[in-house]
Amino acid sequence: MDLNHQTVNLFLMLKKFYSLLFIALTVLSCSEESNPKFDTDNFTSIFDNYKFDIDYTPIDMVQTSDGGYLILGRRKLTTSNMSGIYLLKADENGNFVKELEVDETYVNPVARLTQIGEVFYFACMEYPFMTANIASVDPDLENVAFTPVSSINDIIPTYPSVASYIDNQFLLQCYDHENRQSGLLIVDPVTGAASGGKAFTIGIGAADNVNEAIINTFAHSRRSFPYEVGKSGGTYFFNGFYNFTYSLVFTDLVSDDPIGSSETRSVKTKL
Amino acid sequence: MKRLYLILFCFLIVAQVSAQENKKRKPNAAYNKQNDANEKFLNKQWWLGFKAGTNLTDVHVTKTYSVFSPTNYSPDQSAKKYEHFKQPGAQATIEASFYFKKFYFSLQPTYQHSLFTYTNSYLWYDDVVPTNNLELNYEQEQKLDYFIIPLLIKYDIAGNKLRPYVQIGAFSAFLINANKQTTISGTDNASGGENNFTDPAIIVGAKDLFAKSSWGLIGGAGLNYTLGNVRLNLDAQYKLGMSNITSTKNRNSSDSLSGVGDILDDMTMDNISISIGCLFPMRFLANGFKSSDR
Repeated sequence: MDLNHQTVNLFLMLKKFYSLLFIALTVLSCSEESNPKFDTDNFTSIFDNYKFDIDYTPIDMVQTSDGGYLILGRRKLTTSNMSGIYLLKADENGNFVKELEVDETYVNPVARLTQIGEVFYFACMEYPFMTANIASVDPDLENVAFTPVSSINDIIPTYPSVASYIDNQFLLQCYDHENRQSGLLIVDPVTGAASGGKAFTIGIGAADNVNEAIINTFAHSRRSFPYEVGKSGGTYFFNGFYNFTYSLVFTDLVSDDPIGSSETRSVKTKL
Repeated sequence: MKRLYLILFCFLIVAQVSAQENKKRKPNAAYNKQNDANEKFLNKQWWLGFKAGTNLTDVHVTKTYSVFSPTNYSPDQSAKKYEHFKQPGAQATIEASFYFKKFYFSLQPTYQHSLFTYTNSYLWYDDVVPTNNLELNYEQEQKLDYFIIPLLIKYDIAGNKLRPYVQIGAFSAFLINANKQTTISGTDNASGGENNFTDPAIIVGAKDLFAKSSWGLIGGAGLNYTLGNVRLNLDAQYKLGMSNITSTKNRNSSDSLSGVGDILDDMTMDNISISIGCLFPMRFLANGFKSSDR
């Protein structure tokens, strides 16, 4: 067998082998590739603090325009039994970016964290006066500002419990402990001015200890009630205390009583 | 694409070595026509065999991921620490090789069971009284079953009865099954005294967490010992993973693992395997049924 013949044989062998290799590489091309979109679409993050005695409770979270997230939470205070305000910024992959523990003058943050333009708003309470405030914060947690909510229709806006952004206004529920009534107010998020509102008595007298019991539920570590406010069609509603019970109440913010009879439009839940 | 070029480069080297070998070989004038025919026959042989052995695994992280996102300490404190080539696995291979002038073109479908482990730990403590603390240690063990299709070129370095060889090639690996076992232990120094504890292990099927296929390169060496018509084989291979073995899409799909703070990194997997086996010739000479190399 001459050298040329051997070379041709070897060439033919390698040709077959390269054909197999080509098939193999076609299979190999199906290997896993990274896709940054997967990392932003789906992730789990546990924001961890090494301190043994801290306590953060998330309340609400919104996505910011840069793809990251802003989280509003409560934090345990050492100076009072109320919950402080905690804000955390995470990036689009859920990684911690920055946190902010707001001054203890402002406490009891409540949902919902609402974006208006580039500013985020939420309701909270000024300690020790217990008056409702609208807090505003930029997405980078650089500046936090507070605006008191004004009174309207003899409703003293204390102990805010929940707020929703409806028709470019905050619909804010609060507990007016001075008058022992649940209040529903329409509040401008920027100025804090109330443009409408209605209050509904919880039905207890001055000597009743229910008032104190309700106030205690606003303290840190106490179980909170499932407060809720909203608007369905032209009717406002709230989940709160009314007429001796924790109720779902419908109102047009004009009538002194809930819309319709309480038996048909108001579902009472005794706790 | 760089990896593809690397593979092609390797095979071009093999082709070049082969050409050099042919140039070195001088025709033996003593061979007659019959000897030439025998030599032609002897130069080709099919070998079929089986081998099995053990393997050790290492992984190389290309991108780290973590469920825990520290707010006031360095992420390095809770980073995963991988163990390297520590836990033995096992593999079984069927080998089909075509021999031609000291070269073997070999297909070696393999079932491979591999294990690798990483650990991480977390510490929470009281700022005022640091001895009040809680330490948790996580040990994550991965068990992976792959069907591997290696395509190899082996070259007999020397010898007749005892034949050492070297080999290079590439492989494609297909995931058959995967399991993860998470064991959490710790020390509680905050509940009065020192309390050591170990929670029951969390064992979950993790096939979705890993890539369905991956590929890599193989290098290795071995020995063939001729015993009658059969060859006893000792084979060592290093598999160099070239692609990510983690499923980038399903990384977060296990709630039970995410809940305990575990998530897989992007990584490639390397593997060292040692096997012993035997090879049987598939072609014989007409007289005496002697294999090509006797």
